[in-house]
Amino acid sequence: MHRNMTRGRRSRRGGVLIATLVATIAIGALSVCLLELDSTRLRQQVASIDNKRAFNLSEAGLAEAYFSVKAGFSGNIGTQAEPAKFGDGLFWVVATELGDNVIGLESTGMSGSGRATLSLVVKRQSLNLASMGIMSSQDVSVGARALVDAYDSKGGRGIPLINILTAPPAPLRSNGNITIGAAGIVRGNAVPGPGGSVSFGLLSIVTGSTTPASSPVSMLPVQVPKFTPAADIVLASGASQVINTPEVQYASIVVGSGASLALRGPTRVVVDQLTVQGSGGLEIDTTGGKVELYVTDWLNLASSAKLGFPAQDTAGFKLIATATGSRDRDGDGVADPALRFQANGPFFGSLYAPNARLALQPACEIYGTVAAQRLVIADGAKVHFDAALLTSDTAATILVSPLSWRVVEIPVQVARDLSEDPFDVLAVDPATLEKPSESRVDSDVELSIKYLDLSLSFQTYVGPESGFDWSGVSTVLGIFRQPLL
Amino acid sequence: MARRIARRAGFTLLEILIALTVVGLVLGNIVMVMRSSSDAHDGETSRATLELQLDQTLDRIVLALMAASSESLEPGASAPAFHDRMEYMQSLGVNNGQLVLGAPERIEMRIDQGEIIWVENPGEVGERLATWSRWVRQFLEGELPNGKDDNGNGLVDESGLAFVLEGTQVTVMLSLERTDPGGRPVVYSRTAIVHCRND
Amino acid sequence: MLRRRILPTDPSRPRGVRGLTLIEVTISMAVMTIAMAMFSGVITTTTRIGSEKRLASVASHAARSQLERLRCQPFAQVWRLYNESSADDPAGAGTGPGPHFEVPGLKPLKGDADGFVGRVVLPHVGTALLENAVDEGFGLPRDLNGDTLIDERDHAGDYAILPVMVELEWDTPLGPRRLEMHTMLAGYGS
Repeated sequence: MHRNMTRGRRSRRGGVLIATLVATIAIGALSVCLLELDSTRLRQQVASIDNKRAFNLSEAGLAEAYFSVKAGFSGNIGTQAEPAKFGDGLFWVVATELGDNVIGLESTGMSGSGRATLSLVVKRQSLNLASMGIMSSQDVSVGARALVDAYDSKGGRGIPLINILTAPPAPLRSNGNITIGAAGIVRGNAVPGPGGSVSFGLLSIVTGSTTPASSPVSMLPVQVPKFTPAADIVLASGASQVINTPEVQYASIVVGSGASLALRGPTRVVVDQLTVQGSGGLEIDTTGGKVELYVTDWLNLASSAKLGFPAQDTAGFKLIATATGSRDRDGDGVADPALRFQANGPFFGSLYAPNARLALQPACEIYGTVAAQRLVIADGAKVHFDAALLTSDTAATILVSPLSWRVVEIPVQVARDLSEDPFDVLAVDPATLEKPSESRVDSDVELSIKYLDLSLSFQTYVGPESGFDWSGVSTVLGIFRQPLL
Repeated sequence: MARRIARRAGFTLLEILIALTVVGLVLGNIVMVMRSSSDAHDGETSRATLELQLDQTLDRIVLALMAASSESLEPGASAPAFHDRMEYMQSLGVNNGQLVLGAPERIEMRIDQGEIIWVENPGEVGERLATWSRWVRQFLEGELPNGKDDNGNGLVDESGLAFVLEGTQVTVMLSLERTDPGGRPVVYSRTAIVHCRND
Repeated sequence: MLRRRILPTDPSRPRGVRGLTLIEVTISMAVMTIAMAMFSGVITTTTRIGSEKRLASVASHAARSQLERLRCQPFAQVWRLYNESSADDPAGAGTGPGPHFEVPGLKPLKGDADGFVGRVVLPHVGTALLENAVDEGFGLPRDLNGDTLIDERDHAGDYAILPVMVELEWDTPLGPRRLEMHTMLAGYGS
């Protein structure tokens, strides 16, 4: 009995301490739960801040890609395996050609546990007519004994002496097929459209590439300006007139046989119907400034009409004929084509007819560039592409227009792992990553550049950018890039 | 014969009284601490929930407007007028070189329910609704319905959700309010600036 | 019959047992008090952290909004509007917003030079925007005007891409806090 009582006394000992221990453990557990709940909220908070950072890094990627596209590159910046390091995180941009000069840019940014992927679709357009090359949106015909070549005037004037060994390649392009007549020569590339082909006549030559393009080339859109209209001009035999108004518009200009009309720059002229009859003369004087001539309904330069270019400056003149279709334009009951370009004399400048068939007559010789809906280079005609036109406009020659911006899904491999160190997630060492400007992923491009070298001498270069030494450049005066053909 | 003194099991009255007093004091302390801690925690939870709702709602509005076409924003009236709703269309991408916009959407405040509602295809067959937030104040924090600009932000009697449009910039102001378990009102407000990135 | 005398105390029970119970209770009370104090401390800390988080959330919204504000400005004017110099503001000296901005709800640091919580930080050397400045955070040196060259000219008038950082520093009961947000701007469509 004593033992029982002892056991009873022993069993009461420490009872309170055990209860206290249990209560303390319970309180401890409660504290841990509270802390865990709070740390969950803290993680949510940190994730929200990191997501905002990642979003802005993704925007930085789009900005870098846009800058790159504007410079003539593809828009690819870094890769998921080797992203660009910026700020407190990283980004990379994947560029996809969507056709018709539309490029899709998808930029993924990572910072801490934050992830964001944004999409920007842009359209890249050159504002420079020469960027199309010698171009037809349909088929191109190069006649027998016709010549298509290129040179670099380096901004100079006059009829050049073309050294076929050092001249750049001529950029002949078509969105359809290219036909070269017997003994026709293309000193350069003759690139048909996707699925197109080049047909060779007897003894005809193409010295460059004839591989079809992977996507069609867009014709540059034209915005015809509107100016204050002036009275029609009709010049009878022996009459002459000079147009030197900075901006003027006419419904009709007729230069009769033996009459002459001069457009003296700087001037921009819009005319619905321009007719220069046989032995009539049209002079384009760019000595004092540039001349732009827009013809919206009918360009009719009769055979034996004379074209004069006193300055012989390819960069000084643009003739843009937006006329289209065949119809009776002069009331004689016979359908007239939108363009009749049969004048004598070399032509210096850019000739652009996006909506009509342009047939260059046998005696025609063009220095500059030409593009049309359908281009026919008659037997014996010559077209000399001036590569200096690619950089002749000192203003930006490439317009990159944003079409669409939106938030898109984050790549699965990236979204799956929201660890706080994005470098660990991608298994990259931040010390080895490049900054955004050094992270461009591009194949070689064709570079046209005019610049001052280190001794401030004027220089030009046309060719693959990989072959160009940038360390010798002091000031860039004009630059243009396009994919290598 | 040894006297065997058997102790009777039990406590004296004094022991019980002392024990009860001590236990009472301890338990009382525990209850007080637990209650105040619980109140504080509930209050904090309530505030955190409100703040999370505010952040998430504002983020949703901001992202929606970032991708919206600035030309599709309705009402199109500009600052200093404010609106308690905004209609817009978001970019879905590009087709044939042209921007493709999605179905019309609207973010609006329902004053009676104190809610922010997102509506797709408002007023059309196929209209869809979702509630983005509760606890929306009738008027923005600091603002009273008295025809004056009480909170000094240049607007008069602006609602708890207010949009101000200036070109491609939209200012979004949002105030949420709820009562915590202690019966005290908790108010949180945020202002966000958004640049509409599509034309 | 054996009579049991009920004694108030049982002499066979060691006196120390009663004393041990009192010690037990005392120790228990002490332990419970400490535990409750710690639990209370946890609650206080979570409340303070909640307040911290709130302020950090305000800061992140303010940083994002400030970057959006920059995007709403004409791209070519952003550098002049938000740099340290007010002399070059596009609409006239002193008309630009400048780099500093307030954030309602956040207190600036004690002794902060400008008394503002927020600051827009742009790459600069003095009052010039130089491509050849060295600044890892902005990815400099780099071409900024699209001519591929990195030169020593001031490109404040012809940049085509602009790295930007928004920085916020504010005071809290738990000490000073800081937040940075980086991005780049480009003149879309220009």
